[in-house]
Amino acid sequence: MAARLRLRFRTKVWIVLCGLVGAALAVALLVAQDAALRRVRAESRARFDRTLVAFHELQLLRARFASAEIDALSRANPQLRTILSTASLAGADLGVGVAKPEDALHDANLRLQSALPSLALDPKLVVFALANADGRLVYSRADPERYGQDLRALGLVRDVAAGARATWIWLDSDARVGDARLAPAYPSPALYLVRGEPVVFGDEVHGIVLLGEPLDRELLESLRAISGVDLALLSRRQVLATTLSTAQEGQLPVALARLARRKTQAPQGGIDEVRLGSERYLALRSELDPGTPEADASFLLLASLADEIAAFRDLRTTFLGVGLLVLAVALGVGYALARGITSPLALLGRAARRIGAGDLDARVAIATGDELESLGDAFNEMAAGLRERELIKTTLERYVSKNVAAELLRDPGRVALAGARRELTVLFVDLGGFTSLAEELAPEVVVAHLNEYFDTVCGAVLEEDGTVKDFQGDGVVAFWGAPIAQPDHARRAGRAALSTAARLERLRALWASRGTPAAGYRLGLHSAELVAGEIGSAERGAYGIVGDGMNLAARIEGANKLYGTRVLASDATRAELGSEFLVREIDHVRVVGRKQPVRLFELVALAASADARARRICELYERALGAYRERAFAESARILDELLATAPDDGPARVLRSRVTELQRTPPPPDWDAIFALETK
Amino acid sequence: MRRLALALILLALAPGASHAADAASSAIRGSVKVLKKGVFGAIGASDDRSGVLVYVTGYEESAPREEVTLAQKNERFVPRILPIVAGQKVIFPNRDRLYHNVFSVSPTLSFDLGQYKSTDPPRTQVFEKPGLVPVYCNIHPQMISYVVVLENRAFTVTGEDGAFELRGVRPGKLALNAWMPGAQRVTQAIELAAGAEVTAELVLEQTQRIPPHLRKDGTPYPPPPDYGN
Repeated sequence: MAARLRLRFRTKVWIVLCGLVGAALAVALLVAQDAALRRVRAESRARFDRTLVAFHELQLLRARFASAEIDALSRANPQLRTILSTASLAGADLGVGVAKPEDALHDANLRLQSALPSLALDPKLVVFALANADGRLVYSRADPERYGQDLRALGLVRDVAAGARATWIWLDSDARVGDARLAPAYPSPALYLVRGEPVVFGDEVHGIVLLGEPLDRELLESLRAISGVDLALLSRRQVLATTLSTAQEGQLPVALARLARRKTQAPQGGIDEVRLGSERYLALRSELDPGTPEADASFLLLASLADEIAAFRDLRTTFLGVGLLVLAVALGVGYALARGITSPLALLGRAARRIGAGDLDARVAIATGDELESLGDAFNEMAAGLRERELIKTTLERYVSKNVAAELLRDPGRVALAGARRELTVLFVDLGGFTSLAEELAPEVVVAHLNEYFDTVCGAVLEEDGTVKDFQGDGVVAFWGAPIAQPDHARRAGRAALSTAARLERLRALWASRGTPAAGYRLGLHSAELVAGEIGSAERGAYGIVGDGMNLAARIEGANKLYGTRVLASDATRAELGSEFLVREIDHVRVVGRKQPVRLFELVALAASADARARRICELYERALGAYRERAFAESARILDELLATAPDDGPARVLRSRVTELQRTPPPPDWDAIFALETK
Repeated sequence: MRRLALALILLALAPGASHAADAASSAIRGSVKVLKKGVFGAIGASDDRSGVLVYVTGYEESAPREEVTLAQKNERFVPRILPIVAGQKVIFPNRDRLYHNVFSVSPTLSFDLGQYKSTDPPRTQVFEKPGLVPVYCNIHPQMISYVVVLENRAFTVTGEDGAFELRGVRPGKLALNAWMPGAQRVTQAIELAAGAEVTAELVLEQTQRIPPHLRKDGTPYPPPPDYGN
C-alpha cells in the first residue's frame, strides 16, 4: 500500500485520453486496413478474371484468325490445296506406274518450299505445318526440308483426324515428330497456340493445316495493357514468359515453390500473397484455356500491391497525423478539464486545511457553474456554519457554562429560545460603593478591576451551570433553570451565591493588598416563574428573562445594605433550597411597588461546612425574631443582646435590636403585623 | 449423270472391245462390295457401289487413238474418275458459262492447260506415263478428277449395283484390281484361259480418313465461329 502509485488527476486524465485516442485510432486503422485488403483482394480477383477473359478472347480471335488464314490459304491458293491433295493421293498405290509415295511427298514438299515465299503468311505464324490426309508431314515452316513423318503422333492432329477443328497449346518440345520440328528452336522454352484444321473440298480431304503463334512476352504485355496485371506463363514450374523484370523473374521459382507448398496446406479462394524481392503481389494460378496435358501450361497472374501498400501508407500517415492532432487537442482539453476540476479541488483542499487549522474565515470562490460550484458553495456554507456555531459557542460560553453551551449545541431542541414560562432562580450581584470608587481611580484600573470582578462572578456562576444574563454597571444578573431546564435551579443558585461571596471576599483581600479601597458586595436570590427567551430586535438580541420577579430579586439584593448581610434570598428560593444550606430568616418585608410582603432569608453557609457558632447565631436570631413578632420585645431584646455578646458585628441582630428598642419605647398599634416596609431600592 | 458418263466411256471403248474380241474373247465378270465405316465405327456394306474402278494389270496394250473427254460441267469434272490407257489423249471441254482451268501437280504428270471458257477450243492433254494423275481447276477448289492412266484397256467403272464385266482381256496370269478414291486398292490374282470367263468378287474398304464436314446441302461449312470442339 505504501508503494502505491500516486498519479495526479491530470496525469490520469491524460493517460485515459491517450489510451482512448490511441485505441480508437488503432481500431480505425485496423478496420481501414482490413477493408482495404478486402477491397484489394476483390479488385485483384476481378482483374485476374478480366485478364483470363481477355486471354480467352484473344485466343479466340487468334484461332479465328488462324482459321480464316487456313481457309484463305487453301481456298484461294490453288497451289497449296492441289499440292496437299496430290500429296494425299501419293499413298494410293494403284499398281501401275513407277511413282512411289515418297516421291509424291518429296515433290509436294519441294513445291511448297517453292510456293511459300509467295504465300501471304503472317511472319508471326511461326508454326505452319501441312500434312496430307493420312497425317504425314508434307511441309513445316520451322523445318522446311523434312517431310513424311506421321503427325498422328500429335494429339492435335489426332483430334483433327477424328473430324474436328482443334486448338492446342504446345510446349516447343512437344512440337516435334521424329526429327522434324514443327516450331522454331528457341534457346528458351516457349509455348504456342496451334490451330489445326482439315482442308476439305466436297468429298475430298486434301490434308491438314497447322497454324500457330507463340504465347510470348508480347502477348502477355498486351494482356497487361488490358488489365494492369502482371503475368507469367509457366510450364511444369518453368517460367516461359513474363511481364516481370528480369530480377523479379529470377525470384519466381522460389515464390512458386512456396506458393505450391502453401496451396496444399490452406487453399483460400486461389488467391495468395507472394513476395518477389521487395515487392508484394497477390497471385493466382490459373490453367490455360484450352488446357493441354502435353504442355501442362498455366498462368500466374500477379497483381502488385505496391500501389495499395503506398496508398495504405498514405492512409496510415494521415491517420497518424490526425491522431497526433486529436491527441494534442485531447491533451489540451484534458488539461483544461483536469484544471477545471483540480484547481477548485486544490482551492477546497487549501481552504479545508485552513479550517482544520482553526481559520474559520476560510472561503473558496469557485464559479464553474457545475457540481464543483455547488460543492464550493456547500463548503462555504459549511465554513459559515462552523463559524456561526463557533461564534455561538464562544458567545454562549461567556454567559452560560460550557456544559450548558455544549448541551445547547448538541440538542438545540431542548431549548425553547422562542420564549417560555419557566421556574427560575435569579441571582443579582452588586459591587457596593464601586461607583464612587470609579471616580477616584484611573479608567484603566477601573476596567481592569471590573473585569477581574466580572470574571470572578461569571466563573462562579458558570461553575454551577448558570447563565449570565447581563452586566449592568457593576451589577451582574444570572439565572438558572433556562435555557435548559434545571430542576435544582435554586440549589445551584445558592451554591453559586455562596461561592461568589467567598471568591469576592478573596478578591477584596487582593484588591486591599494592592491598595485599592475595599468595596462591599451584595447578592440577592429569588425564584419565580419568569419568561425566558430570545429578546431583542432582529439585529441585536440576547437570550434573557423578564418578569416581576426580576425587580424583587433586585430589591432583595438591595436589602443587604439594610441588614449588613452578603447573601439574601426570598422565601420562594428558601423553599427550594432544602437542607443543604444553613439559612436564617431575617425579616418579613414589603418592598417598594409590591403589595405582597416577602420573607427574607440569609444564606449563611453550606450546611455541611457550617460551624457551631454560626448555627448558634442563627438559632438565637430566629428566636429573637419570633419574640419580636409576638410583641415580646423585651424577650427579643434579651436574646439579641445575648447574640450580640457573641457576635457584636452581626448586622441583622443589630438592626433588629435597634428596632426592638424603638418599639419598646413606642409600642406599635394593635394591628401591627411585624412587616417591615423596605423603603430603599 | 454418272451413268451417262459411263455410257460415254463404254461408247468410247466399244471399238477397243471389238478389237480385243479378235484375239480371244476372255472375260472377267463379277461385282464389288464397298464397306463403309459407320458413324460409330461399325462397318457395313454400302448400297452405293458405284464409282469403283475395276481394272486388270499384267500386260500392256497400246492406247486407242480415240480421245477421251473429261468435261467441266456445273463446276465439276465429269467423270470424277477417268481410267485411260497410257498414251491416250484426253480432251477437256468447258461446258460451263464460266472460266475453268485444268492442271495437275502430280509427280506422274505435271501440266497446266491454262484458263479458258466454253467458247474457246477445248484443250487436250496426252497422258504418257501410267499412274494416278489428279486433275484440278485452279479457280474452283471443289473440282477434282482422278485420271487413272492404266497399262491396258481391261477396265471399267461400276454402276450402283457394283456389277462389272471386262471383255477382251488377254489370257494369262493377271491381277484383278479395284480402287476408288478414299479406299485402298484391292487386288486379286486371276488365271485367265483363252476364251474363258472368270467370276470374281471384290470387297473394297473405304478408309474414312477424315470425315468431311459438310452441311446438309453438301457444301462445306464456313470458317468456324469459334475454335475448339
